[in-house]
Amino acid sequence: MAYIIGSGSYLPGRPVTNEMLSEVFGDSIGLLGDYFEVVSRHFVVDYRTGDNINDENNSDFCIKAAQEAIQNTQIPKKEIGLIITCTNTPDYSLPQTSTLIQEKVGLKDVIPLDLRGGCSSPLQGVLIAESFIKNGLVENAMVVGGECFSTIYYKTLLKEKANYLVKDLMNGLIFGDGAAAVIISKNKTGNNAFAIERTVSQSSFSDWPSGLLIPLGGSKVKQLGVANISLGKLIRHVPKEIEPRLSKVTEIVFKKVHAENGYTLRDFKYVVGPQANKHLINSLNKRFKVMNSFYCGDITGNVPGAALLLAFDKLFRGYELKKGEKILMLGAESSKWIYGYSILNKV
Amino acid sequence: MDKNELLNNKKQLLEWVKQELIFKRLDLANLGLSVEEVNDNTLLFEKVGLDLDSVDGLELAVGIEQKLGLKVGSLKEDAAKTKFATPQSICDFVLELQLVKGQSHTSNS
Repeated sequence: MAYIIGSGSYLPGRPVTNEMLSEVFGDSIGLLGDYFEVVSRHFVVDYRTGDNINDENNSDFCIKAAQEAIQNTQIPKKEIGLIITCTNTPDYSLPQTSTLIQEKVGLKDVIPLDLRGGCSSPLQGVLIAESFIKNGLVENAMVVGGECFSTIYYKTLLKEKANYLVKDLMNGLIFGDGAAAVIISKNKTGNNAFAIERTVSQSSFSDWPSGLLIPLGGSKVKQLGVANISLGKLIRHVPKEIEPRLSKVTEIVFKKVHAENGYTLRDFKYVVGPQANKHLINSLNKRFKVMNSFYCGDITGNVPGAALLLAFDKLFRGYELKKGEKILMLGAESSKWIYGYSILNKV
Repeated sequence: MDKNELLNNKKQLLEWVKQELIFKRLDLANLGLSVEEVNDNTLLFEKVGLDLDSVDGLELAVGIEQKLGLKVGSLKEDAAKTKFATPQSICDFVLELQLVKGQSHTSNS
C-alpha cells in the first residue's frame, strides 16, 4: 500500500478576474465568462501588458508547491527518492523540470521523471510513484504538476485583441498558471492521509480527433523563434471535438470504476473530475448524475498538469474527511484522450 | 464597408452575415464548404444544415459585438438558437439590437 500524506500548491499573483480582462479585451469577455462559467485565473504575466515582471516560470511554481508539500508533511528531504513532474509547458526541453526542482529544493539523490500527459498526467504520476513504492525502489515520492501558459500565449493574444476569435481567447480565459504537489509514502504518517486504493491510466482512443494541441515546443513547428507566430501555432483548441468525446471517456471511466472495484458514484464523498471549464463539467455532472463533484477550475483556471493535484490540495487541506470516506479522482485529456482514475481512501 | 453602412442596408448586412460572420469567421472553408452553400435560410444549428455547436454560436455573438459595436449580452441557449437559427434571423436580430440601442440613446439624451 502507498499513502498520500500531504500536499502543497502555488498560484502566481492575484486572481485575474473577467472584469480585469474586460478592461483589455472589451465587453465580450462577460459573454464568454458567463458561458464558460470561469470566474478567475492566475497569470504570471501582467494581464495588461503580457510582461513577466518577476521572471517567474513553471519550475519556480513547482519548486514553491514542492517546498510547501515537504513543509506540510515534515518529511526529511533525504527520504524522498523519486520526483515525478507533470507538465506540458516546461521551462526547457532539457533539462527536465524534475531536476530543476531537485536542485532548488535541495534533494541529494533522486530518480527524476518528467511526464507530459495533459490533465491525465497527475494520475500517471501517482500510478508510477505507487508502483516504485510497492516494488521497494523508493520509500517516498513527490508528484508535482505545474503549468505556465501565459508566457507562451498571452502576448500574442494581446496583439490580436481587436479581432480575436472565441477559440483563441478561450485559451486565455480558461487556462491558468500554477502548480501543486503531493507526497506519496510507504508509511502512513500524521492524521491526514489517504491510502491509494487503485490507480489506473490508459490510452485507448489515440485515433480519435484531438480536441487540444500544443504544437509549440515540438520540432514540427518550423516557426519556432519567429516573433509573429500565429495563435493557432501555440495552442489549438477544437471545442467541437471535446464535449462529445469527454462525455464518452467519462462514461467509460465510471463503468471501469464499477467493474473493477464494485463502486458506484454514491460510494464516494467527492468525485474530482477533469478541471476543464465549468460549463463542460456541469454538463457532464448533469448527464451522469454526479451529485458530489468537487471542482475549483473556475477560480484557478485550467492548469492541466497540475489540475487534479490542485483540486486534491484544496480538498486535502480544506475539508475534513472521516476515516473510510473515499475520493474518486478522474482524469481525462483531450489531445489523445488518455484517461484514468484513482481511488483514495481516508485512513 | 463600415458598420453604419452595413446597419443601414439590409441586403448588404445579410451578405456580411453570410460571407464574413459565418463563412470566414467560422472557417467553413476548412470544413470543405463553399460560400455559396450558406444561403439566407440555411439552418445553422441543425444536422440537416451546418450543424454548428454552442461555441460556434458564441463566436457569432462575439463577431457581432466586435464588428458592429452592438451588445448581444447573455442569451439562454434556446433563445440563442432561435435568434441565430439562419443568416436571415441573425440579420433580423442585429437590426433589433440596433433599434434597442437607438432607443436607449434617444431616451438617454
